[in-house]
Amino acid sequence: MRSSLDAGGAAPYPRAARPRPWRGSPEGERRRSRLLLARAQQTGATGTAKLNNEVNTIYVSADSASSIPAVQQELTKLLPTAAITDQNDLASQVTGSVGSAASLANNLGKWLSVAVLVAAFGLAILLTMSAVARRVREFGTLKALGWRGGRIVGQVVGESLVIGVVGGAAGVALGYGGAALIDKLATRLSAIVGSSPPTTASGVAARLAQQVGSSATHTVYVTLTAPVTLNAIGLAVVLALAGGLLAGAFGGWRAARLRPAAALRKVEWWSHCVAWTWNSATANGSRSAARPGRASPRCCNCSAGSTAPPGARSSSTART
Amino acid sequence: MSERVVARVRARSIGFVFQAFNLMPMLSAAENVETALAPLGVGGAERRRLILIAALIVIVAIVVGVLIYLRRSRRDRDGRGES
Repeated sequence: MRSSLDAGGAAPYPRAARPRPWRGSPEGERRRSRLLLARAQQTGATGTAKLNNEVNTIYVSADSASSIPAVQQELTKLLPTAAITDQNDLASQVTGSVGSAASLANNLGKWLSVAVLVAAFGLAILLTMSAVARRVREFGTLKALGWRGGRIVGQVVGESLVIGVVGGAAGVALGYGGAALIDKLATRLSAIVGSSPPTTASGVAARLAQQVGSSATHTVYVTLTAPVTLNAIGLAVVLALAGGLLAGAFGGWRAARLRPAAALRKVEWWSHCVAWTWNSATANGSRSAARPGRASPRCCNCSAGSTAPPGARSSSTART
Repeated sequence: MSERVVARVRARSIGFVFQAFNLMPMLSAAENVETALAPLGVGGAERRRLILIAALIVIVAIVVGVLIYLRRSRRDRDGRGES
């Protein structure tokens, strides 16, 4: 490599006052590319404006990619204070920024899916709880018939598992559709990376290039993909099953704790009316009172147990 | 008493008479009967056989009851106590 650069950081060159007839010509372009750094820095457009701190980047091109490390080493020796980077750094910076965008998308997706998962689990548990709370009477009947708590829990868990399996299958199908949609509509992130020019500059080891990479740039595309892997599907199904199991266990545990008497006392709002009309019909011997259309306006304005005869309450004699 | 023992007593020794029907609306009539047989440890096939027998008995009872009713009402209409 030409060592004309080693004068770059040396003592100030005497101010150039001599005429430069070659300025502005193609010959001048060629000659200007061989300027010493100190002279380049002292060359101003006018007499007073200096380029003292203006020239701070020098492009150096090597004649082959394999010699870049050697050139870099020599440059470090010649210009110990300069920061020397090469195309690989630039390329890796660009790729790195694209990559960090990709990893950001990945991380965002991961945490988003975790949040959605937690919300879904919570929702499943809440819904199962409310469903079980509405079926307390049913479970009370089962307990009165002699069902053990574990059996009731198993029943609820089984129902939740079936719902989980169906939901998981629907979710996998929906996920397939969504992934296909993303693949179809995917926006491509593009980045323009300057590549090293073709290595035909034989003989010139180091030259002042105007703009490295202006001759040959190539574009890097990062495509947004939604890969569907067997692992992801398996995870989805397992999570759906786990959600069903968890929700069912919670709901079943609450349902199985109740004693049948307590559960059966939680009558639905109309059931004491049924018992009341039945009782009054059998007591009076008239069929008219048993008709719900007649009986309900008289009965159901009452609060449970105030107007209805005491015997009309649902079975509360079973104590354990 | 443990929950297990209580459940056993409820299944084998106590009969509940519900004032409301307390049927499961999503189950068939036979399945509703099965809910009471399940805690007794009766197998599925045996349960269905028992329920079939019970249903036949109930049908026979209904037929007999209707016949008795018809006979009685005819007797009432005719006004002669001949039974």
